[in-house]
Amino acid sequence: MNLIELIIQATLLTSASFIFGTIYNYEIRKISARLQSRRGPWLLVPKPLRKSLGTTRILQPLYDIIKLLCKETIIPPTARRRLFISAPLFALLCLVASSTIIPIGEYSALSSFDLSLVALLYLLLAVPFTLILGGSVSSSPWGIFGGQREADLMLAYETPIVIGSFTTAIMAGSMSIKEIQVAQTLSLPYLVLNPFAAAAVLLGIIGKLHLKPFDIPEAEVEIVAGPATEYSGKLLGLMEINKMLLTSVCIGLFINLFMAGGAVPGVTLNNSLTVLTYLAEGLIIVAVASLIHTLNPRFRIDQALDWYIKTAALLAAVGLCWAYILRHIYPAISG
Amino acid sequence: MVMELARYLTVEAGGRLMHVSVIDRGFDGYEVVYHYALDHLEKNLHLNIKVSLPEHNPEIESVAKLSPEASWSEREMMELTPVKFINHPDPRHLWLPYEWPNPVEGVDYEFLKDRLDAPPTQKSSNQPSLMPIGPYHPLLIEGAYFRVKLKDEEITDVDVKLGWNHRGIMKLFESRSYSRGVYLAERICGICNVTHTTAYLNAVETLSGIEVPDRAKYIRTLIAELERIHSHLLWLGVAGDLIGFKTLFMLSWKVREKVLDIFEATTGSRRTPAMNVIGGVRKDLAGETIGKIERRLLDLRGEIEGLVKLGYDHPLMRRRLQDIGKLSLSNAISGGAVGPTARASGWKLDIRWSSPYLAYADGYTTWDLITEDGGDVWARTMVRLKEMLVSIDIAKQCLQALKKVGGPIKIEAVDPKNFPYNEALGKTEAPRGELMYYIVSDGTNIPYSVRIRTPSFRNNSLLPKMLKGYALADAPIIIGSIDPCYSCTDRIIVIKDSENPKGRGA
Repeated sequence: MNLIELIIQATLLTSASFIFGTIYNYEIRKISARLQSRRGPWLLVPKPLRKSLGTTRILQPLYDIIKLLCKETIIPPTARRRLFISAPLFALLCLVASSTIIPIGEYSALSSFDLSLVALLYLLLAVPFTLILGGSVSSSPWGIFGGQREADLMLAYETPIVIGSFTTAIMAGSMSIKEIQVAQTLSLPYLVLNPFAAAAVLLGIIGKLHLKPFDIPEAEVEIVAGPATEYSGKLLGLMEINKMLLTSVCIGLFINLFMAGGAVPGVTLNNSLTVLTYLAEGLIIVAVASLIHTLNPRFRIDQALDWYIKTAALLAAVGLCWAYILRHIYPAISG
Repeated sequence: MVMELARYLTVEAGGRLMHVSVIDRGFDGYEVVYHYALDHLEKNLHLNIKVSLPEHNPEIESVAKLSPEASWSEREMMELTPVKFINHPDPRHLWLPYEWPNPVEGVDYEFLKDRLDAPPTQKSSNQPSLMPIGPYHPLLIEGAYFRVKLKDEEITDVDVKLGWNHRGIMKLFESRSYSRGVYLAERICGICNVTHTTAYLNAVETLSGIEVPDRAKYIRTLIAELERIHSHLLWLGVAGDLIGFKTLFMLSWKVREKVLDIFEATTGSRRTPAMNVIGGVRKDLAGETIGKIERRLLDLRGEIEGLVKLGYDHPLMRRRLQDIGKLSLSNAISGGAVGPTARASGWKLDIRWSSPYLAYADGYTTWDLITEDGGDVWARTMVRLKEMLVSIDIAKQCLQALKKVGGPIKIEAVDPKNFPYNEALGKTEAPRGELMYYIVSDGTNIPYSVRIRTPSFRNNSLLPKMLKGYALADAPIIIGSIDPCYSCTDRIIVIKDSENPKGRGA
């Protein structure tokens, strides 16, 4: 693969990742709206309104971002300007890099290199740090509190993600995301083989995406908007773009590590069909996440930490043991 | 003399000081009225102690040290009248900004110099940081300001500042006739307007010696109980939002729509029914309407039972609400808690039960008084949820009675020319607690003086006690758990616009 091809594919992957993130976020909004007896953004706009609204509002999160990007950006004079501006930019950089590592079906720009899983986890770890940074330098007490809470929560939710991800690496015998995905097509998806690790990673992802009950760093009635309190206009739009990318990357990570990345074992699909199954699997995971999001109130920070340690981290540990058992006692199943 | 009486009434007799009113008697000086209620000990027992003060330099010893619940009442009266309550433990302004127009003498204003933590300072982490909750904050759509001092996430000190939406309603009453006053009372609060008119009319009808016909009593009770259900459902939704449970918010407001539909069917208006008029009610209920309401109430009962079940069964909800914002029984009594806040601390205090009005008395309806022992937010939630079921019971009994009891729905009011010189106290159990109207008449068709003590006024003063020692994350739901209503709490003062002298402040 030459350089130009690589750049083109990386750009395509990033844009696809962004569009998928938009669709996932639309789904979260729609499902929670329907469960709360609200309508939510239209999937199919009624005929009389189509002239002004278009046929579908599935890209509503995107329109919100466009609106924010058109607005004036206000930077508080007391904030540390450079750090304040660079925090969301740095997060965007990390997320663009990580979305090139996540393979979508057969399309993979960088994911096949060795240790790509480690690189991805590092890049994803950087995102909460930018939130902490942005909140802390914004000079708003709410931002500082949000950053502090994010710092606490991060330690809790990263643990199951990291342990669960490395469990799949142990099962596949490789640190490359592409190889882990390929290994599942040869045996069974790891969601079936090791549901404990899958559950742990999914719970970690819910925390990372700030879905309920873990939206503690941006709890609006307690600390206004947390780290995003002082952000406005284009910078807030940037944060929203980051949110879309983060959703898509996290869900993509889960699909590749536990659901064979859109491939169906035993069935040969062509490239575009794998992208569709990939998206469908993503939609299923997001549906589960948005159910949890809708049916729960918010944890208090100490309760969340407690719960993560007692439940999610425990699940991850069980998953790790399970992987060990599978690999060494029943190597036939794990392939 | 007053102090001795006050000591006897609070300490020995176990009375509650409801409010301290000051009536401006013009050349005759000022009249301080201490409204003591002993109705929680013996039904309907109230005591008003009146002290006359000279026109110039009126001063009286404060009773706030004896009964802390008097503190805010006395501060309010010091703001509205020239009467000075000397030796008051906390004589700062209640409605006005602390230092405007003049700082109160003998008060240490050092605390105002504590700056908010913006820009971030290099303070060591041992020092408490100051957090502003309000006056504009997503926690409350209404204006209230809590200066919260925090050590890490723990609340160490709270100061409540009121007066962000001061409307001058008590003064406006003094320029309106009694019948127009009903509509003014209705506009004090959008959520509990029926109970305001009921309390106002309780006072006015006692003043003029009117006995409301039975049918009107039942209709008034029905509307008041429907209002309680709607108010508690509204609160439940807001409480859900405060713990981040948007689904509960939507769910309970969906149920609330049904109550509003009943309102519409009975009164023609969804939220401000304007049903109560002097001497009775405006509109009768037809036979088929009663049947319709009964069917809807049955439906509503099922839905509310579902909400109670949800409260008990949802693991996270219970975890968020239990063991926070505790108010012990002794604190509730000494601070003068009212309504569900008092009942959740195990205090059997319900005005419907202790000073029965309308159709709450024996012989009209029978119902249970709901209390809980926890004293925490969970107990307050449960009291409100179970109270809704009781309210449905009362409403049903009223509907049954309306099928049998005939007669007029309204009697003619007293000719304004013959209005007596009198004074009267009207009380109701509002959804948030005891609501008190004290009206003094002077023989004309407009009241001489009106004093209102709203339930939120009392419960708000207890908030610092409930908040101390809990996490900032719990502050919203603790503040929300008393169901604070700032349109009730802030009532007075007319703001004059210097450029537009005719314009009246909100």
